[in-house]
Amino acid sequence: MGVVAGAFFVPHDPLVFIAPDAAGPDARARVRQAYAEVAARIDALEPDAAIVVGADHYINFGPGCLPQYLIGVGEVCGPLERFPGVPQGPLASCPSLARHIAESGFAEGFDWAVAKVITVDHSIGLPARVCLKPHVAVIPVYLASGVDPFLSLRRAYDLGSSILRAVQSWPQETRVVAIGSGGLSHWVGMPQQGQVSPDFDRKILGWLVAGEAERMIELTDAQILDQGGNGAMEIRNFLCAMAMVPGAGGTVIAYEPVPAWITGLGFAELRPR
Amino acid sequence: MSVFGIEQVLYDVSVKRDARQSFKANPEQFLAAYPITDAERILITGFSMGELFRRGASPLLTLGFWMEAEGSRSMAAYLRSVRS
Repeated sequence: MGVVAGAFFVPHDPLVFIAPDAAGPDARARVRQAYAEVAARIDALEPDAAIVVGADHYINFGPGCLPQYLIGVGEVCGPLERFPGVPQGPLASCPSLARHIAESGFAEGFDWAVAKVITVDHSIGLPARVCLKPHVAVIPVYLASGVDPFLSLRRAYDLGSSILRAVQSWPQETRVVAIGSGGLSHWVGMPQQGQVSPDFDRKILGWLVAGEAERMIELTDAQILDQGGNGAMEIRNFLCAMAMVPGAGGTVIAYEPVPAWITGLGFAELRPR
Repeated sequence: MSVFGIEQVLYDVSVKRDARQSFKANPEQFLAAYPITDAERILITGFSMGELFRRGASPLLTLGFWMEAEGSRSMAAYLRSVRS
């Protein structure tokens, strides 16, 4: 059967890669080290596949069609965007397990949108390229966490629970990691852009590593927007990944507030007890 | 008309090369196909990001549109515009 061996939480800030010199050398080094640490911890778990939960940024999905949640069940490529030192093109994929997740969800009342072919944007593409070895299959999951109407926090968590049940009912011996991509505080394109909120970020990270999903779910969108910016709506991605490791204990790997990169960058791990 | 027409313009110009080229070549002709008002057309061609944002356009789109179509690709200039 399938098993979720762990969950990781990483930012997907493009500026880390396209404007590295905007940040100071110490912050730059700590963020790069944090990504490397996540990659090492994932590799140590020897996963066969990674479910990477991200947010589209009005790149793949436009005003004409905005799925609440979507899973890639076929070919996966990415990232769409060019980043120095980051490969593009086809990623390893696992269509059979991805399809199983979708069909298990259908049976439970989760009406997934599916993509048979998808080129993921940076929210999934950067974690996939930076944190995973090339042989690890990528199962991309997009939540409506970047563009309104937003998926509810509760539904994001419940979706993660459905994914977990699907992985556990998968008949093949398969080790899976979950990656919740996004956050933390950032105001993208808004007048407040450049502002970061360490208080909000540390609160979220604290709840995350304590497994206190309900505390996050109790937040209103108005509170999230006010305290963490439109980018903080991406904590939905965290909740989805958290649900795949219920009862897990965790650690904050790093936290770096970098106004020059317009984001409070948080890295964490949840490991099943 | 509504913010949705504005967002469709911003999205198309941001992510579709052909649309971006058409917009740059002849903005008025390009925008004629979209469900937007004359006032909205002026805001778009004038790169009035602050007013577009206040009208409800997604900041992801106002930022993307500016960076892909305005010409300067200046984040500082974008922020001045969206804050105006």
